[in-house]
Amino acid sequence: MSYSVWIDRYLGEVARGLRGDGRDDIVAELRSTLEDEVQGIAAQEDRNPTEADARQVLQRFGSPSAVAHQYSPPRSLIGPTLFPEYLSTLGYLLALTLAIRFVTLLLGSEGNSVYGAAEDLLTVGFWTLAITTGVYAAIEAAGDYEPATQDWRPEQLPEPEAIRLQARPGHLVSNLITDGFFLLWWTGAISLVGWFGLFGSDVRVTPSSAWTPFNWPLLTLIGCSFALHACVLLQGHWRRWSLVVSLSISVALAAIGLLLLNAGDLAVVTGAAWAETDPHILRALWCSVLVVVGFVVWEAVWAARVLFFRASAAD
Amino acid sequence: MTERADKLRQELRRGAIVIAVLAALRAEHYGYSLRHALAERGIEVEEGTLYPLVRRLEQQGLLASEWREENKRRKRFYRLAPAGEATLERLLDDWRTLNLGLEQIIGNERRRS
Repeated sequence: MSYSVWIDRYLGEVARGLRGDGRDDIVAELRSTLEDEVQGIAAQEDRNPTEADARQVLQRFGSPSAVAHQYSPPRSLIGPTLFPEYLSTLGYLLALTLAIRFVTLLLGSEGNSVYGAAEDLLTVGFWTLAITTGVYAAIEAAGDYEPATQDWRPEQLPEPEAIRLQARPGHLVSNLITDGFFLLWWTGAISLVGWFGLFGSDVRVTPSSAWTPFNWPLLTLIGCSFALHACVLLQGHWRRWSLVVSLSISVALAAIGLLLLNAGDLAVVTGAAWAETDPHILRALWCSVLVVVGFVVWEAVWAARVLFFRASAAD
Repeated sequence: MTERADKLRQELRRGAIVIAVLAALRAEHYGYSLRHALAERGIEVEEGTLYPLVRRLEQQGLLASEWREENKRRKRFYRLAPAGEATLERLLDDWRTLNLGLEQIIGNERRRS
């Protein structure tokens, strides 16, 4: 393996921690500097650079997340040394607390509105964020914290294949949110009735019989999708098995979506004001299912590209 | 050295390193050559501290930079900008005043003991 592979792996990790327009420029400059440093070591002994030289330089530079945060705008509450660990802890705690609240909502079948459930989850998220930030701000103020990043070793860098399979948190979180709200609605834990208040206070929308054969398949598939995305979010990267599962779920959901689109009316609308709103509601629902089908087809194409054409999972 | 003393030393070095970097960049350097120019004068700065610092100083308009090719590789060269020149002069004035006062205090203490 060439020494430059170590630099690539390192810069891949640094780039993950950088935001904004300057990211490519910082990575290009770091690459130039790292190569200078590695070649400087080799030049002292009049030989070609080796992997050991690269590891020695990377060790001196320190953990990629710490380097990335040194390049980030200064934070007054939590400094760059502590920030990577704060972010990591916050991510785990948010995933844990939101998952617990989500499951209790699901099991409780409390019949909340979408707004009620969203408010509930936001409240849990807010307090987790506030308490974690407060604790880390106190540690920062105390100033006697030795971050785990000081124990960092280049050998901890992910393999090139793992870099290719690194997951985008935004992608996973958006999937978790859509899957989560579908599960809450489908199990009756929340209700969409309030959404149709715009059309008339007495309008009620219930799923038509077209959905009946897909009740359990949808629940199982979306449940698996939610669990899969949560698992990948915690691991930070995709694996071959998780991509295969993701592709299978997407193909199955796309098939169900296409069957639903051809099954006639997707909902039964009742209420005194239904006559003027009925076509609009049914059309909106049909378009929504069409959008979802488009989304899952896109997901299937993405997973197939990563699995079979070795595309990067972050693309 | 105790941890507290180590932190005080870090604080003392932080400001001094900014002055050293600005002064060293009166001559053009890229990252690696700047670190070695400082090290040759006994000012060892960790890579993880120096390179982000140089970039911050450039973003503040104190340094100018340009990408150029040298030895078949693209490198980013830094040089002190006019605003950096003025800032450096002010910092050096403060540094000399502090140093003078400090020398007098230390000298007085030595004479007393």
